[in-house]
Amino acid sequence: MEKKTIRIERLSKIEGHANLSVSLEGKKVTDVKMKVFEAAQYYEAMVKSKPFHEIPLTTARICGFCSQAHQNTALQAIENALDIEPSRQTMLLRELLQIGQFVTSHSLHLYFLALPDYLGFDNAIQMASKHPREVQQALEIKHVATELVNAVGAREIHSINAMVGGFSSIPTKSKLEMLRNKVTQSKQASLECVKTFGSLQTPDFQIPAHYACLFQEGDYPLMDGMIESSECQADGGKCIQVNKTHYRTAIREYLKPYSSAKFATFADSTYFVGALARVNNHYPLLSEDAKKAAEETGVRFPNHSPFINNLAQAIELVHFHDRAIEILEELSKTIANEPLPRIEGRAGTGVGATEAPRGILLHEYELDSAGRVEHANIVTPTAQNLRHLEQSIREYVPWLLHLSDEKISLELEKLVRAYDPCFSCATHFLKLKLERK
Amino acid sequence: MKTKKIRAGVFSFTACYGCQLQLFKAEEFMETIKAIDFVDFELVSEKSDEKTALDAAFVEGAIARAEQVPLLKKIRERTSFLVAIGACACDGGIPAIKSFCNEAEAERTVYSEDFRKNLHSISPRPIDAHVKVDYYMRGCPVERTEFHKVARALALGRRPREKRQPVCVECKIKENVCLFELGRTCLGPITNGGCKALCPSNNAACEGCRGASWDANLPAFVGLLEKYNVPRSRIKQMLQRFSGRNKEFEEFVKKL
Repeated sequence: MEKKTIRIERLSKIEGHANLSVSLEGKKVTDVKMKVFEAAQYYEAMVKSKPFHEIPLTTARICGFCSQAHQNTALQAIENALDIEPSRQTMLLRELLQIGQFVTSHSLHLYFLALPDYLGFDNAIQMASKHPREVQQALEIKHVATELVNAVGAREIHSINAMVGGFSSIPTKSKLEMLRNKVTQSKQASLECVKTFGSLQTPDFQIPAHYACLFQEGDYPLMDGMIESSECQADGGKCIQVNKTHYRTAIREYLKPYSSAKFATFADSTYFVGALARVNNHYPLLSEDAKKAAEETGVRFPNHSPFINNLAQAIELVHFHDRAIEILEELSKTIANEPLPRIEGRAGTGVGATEAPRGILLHEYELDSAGRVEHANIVTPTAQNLRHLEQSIREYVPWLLHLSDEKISLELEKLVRAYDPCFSCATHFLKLKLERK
Repeated sequence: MKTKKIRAGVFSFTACYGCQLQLFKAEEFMETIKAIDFVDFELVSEKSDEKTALDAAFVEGAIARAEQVPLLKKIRERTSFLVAIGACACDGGIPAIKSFCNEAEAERTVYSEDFRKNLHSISPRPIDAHVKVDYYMRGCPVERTEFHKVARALALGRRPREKRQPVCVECKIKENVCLFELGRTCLGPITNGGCKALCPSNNAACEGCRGASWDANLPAFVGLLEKYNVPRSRIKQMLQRFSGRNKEFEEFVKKL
C-alpha cells in the first residue's frame, strides 16, 4: 500500500505541471521535449459574452505571479477598443502596480526558486537557517513591493480598483510619501541582490538568440510600445518592428501534441523574451544606479547566456525601484480625485501590450455593440520562450554528459529555472527522463 | 504551550498560484515555518516526502483534468485535516466558468479539435465534489491573515472555525454608503464575509469571490437585481463567476 502512494505522488510531480524528456544516442541529443502538463486554461473562451468592465479582473486570475500585467494589458486592450484615453495619473498608478508586481515576482523567483540551487539547498526554507540575510533581503524587497501594490491597488494580488477608464479609489498623499520612503529603503536590498547574483558561478554557456521586447522612445520597456527585435537596437541583422495591433504578422503560436502550453515563433524564428531581452536591447535606458550595479558585477551586456537572465532580473529590481521612486515623487505632489468616467459599451477591437515580468504579454478583444466580448486572444511570455528553452537544453546537454544523471538533471533544472517560466512553480519539481541508447 | 511542529503539505491543481503566494507575502512567513514543517510543498521544494502522513493539507485550485482526481484522493487519505484554499478549490472559482460554456467548443476555441484529446480536460469542479473538506478558506485570493490564523490554530492543536457573516455586515461596520443606494449593484448581500468588505470599501462592487453566504436569500436578491434592471442572463453570469459550482448556487441558477 505504502509503495503505491510513492508511485502516484511521483506521477503528480510529472503530471501536475511539466516534465522534460531528453533522448540521446551516444553523445548526440536526438530529441528534447518540454512537456507542460498544467491543466489547460480556457480564458479566451470563458470571457466570451461577458461585459467589458469585468474582463480585466477576470483575466488577472490567469496568473497570481503576474496578475497585474494581465489586468493592465486587458485594460489597455479594452480602452483601445472603446477609444478611451486614461489620464496621466491613471497611467502612473497602473505603472506603479505593474512595477510592484515585477518586483514581487522577480524577488520570489530569484530568492525562493533560483538561489537555493546555487547555494546547495533543496529549498528556501532550508536556506533560511544558513543564509538568513539573503532570505531577509528577499522578504524585505517583497514586503515593500507588496505594500506598494496593496496601497495603490487595494489588494496584494488582483487589484480591486484599477478599472476601465481610471481608478475607483486612490492612495492618499501621505501614503504615497510613506511608500516613497519605504521603496527608497528597500532599494538597498535590491543593490545587494545584484551583488548576490553577480557573484554566482554560472556556466559559460552561450546561445545567441533573437531578443524581443516592447519599445517606446525614451522609456525602458514596460507599459506599451512597438514589438521589436534586438537587431533594431544593434548594428547588423534585420530589424523586425511591428505595431502591437499587427502582432499576428510577427508572432505565430502553434501547438505541440505533448504540451498544454503553446509554443511561438517571432518572424519565423526562435526568440527570447523577458528580463534578459529587455536588458540586452535597452541597456542604455536602465536607471543610472542599475547600470552602475550591473557594471560592478563585471558581466557585460548584451549577454547570450540564458543563466544571466537571473542577473538581468536583479538589475531590473534596481531599475524599477528607481522608477517607482520617480513616480511616487510626482504623484505625492499631484494626486487628486478623478471621477471615474461613465462608459457605455460599444463595438470595437483593441490590442494591449505590456511587459510582464517574463516578457511580452498581449491581449486582444473584439467587443460587440453592447461592449461584450465576442472574441479574445491572449499570448503569454512563457509560450514565446518555450521554443528557445528547448533549443537551449538541446545545446546544453552535450556539455553535461560526463556527469551523473542526477547532476545532469540538476543542471538542466537550473537552466529551465533561469528562464523563469510561468510554470516555474512546476519546473521546480520537474522530472528528468534521460534516455541513453 | 504545545511546541511540536505540525507536518503540512501545500498542493495546487487548476488555479493561478495567487493563494499560495499569499503565504510568502506575509511577514509572518518566518514565524509560520517555525510552527509548521512543510514536508510536501511543490512550489518551493523539489524533494517531497510523499509517504508521511500529514496533519494538514492546504489545497489550491479546481479539479479540471482527469489525472487530478486520484491525486486529490491520495492527499485526502494522507491528511487528517484538509483545507481548501481560495475560490477555485472552494467553489470552482474562475476556472469553473468553463463548465457553463459549451465545453467542447471552449476546447476547440483555445486549442483545436485534433488537440483536444491531449488535454484530458474534465468539467471543472471544486474539490469537495471529490473529497471531504474540513475548512474552506475563501476568497480570490485568500486573506493572508486567515492563512496564518488557520496555521496557528492547527499548530496549537485547535480546530479553526470559519466565520459566517455576509459581506454586508462587514460593509456596514465600515460605514460605507451602500452601492445600491448609488444606483449600482453588488454581490455583497449574498456573499461570505471575512474580507472586511474590501471591494465596496474601495468603491468597487463585490464580485462574490468568497462564495455564497450560508443564509443567502437568493430569490430576494434576484428580485432586487431585477429592480435595478439587470437582465436574468446577466444575473446568471454574475452568480456563475466565482461560485457557480457551489451546490446551493448551482441548484438555484438552474431554476432561474
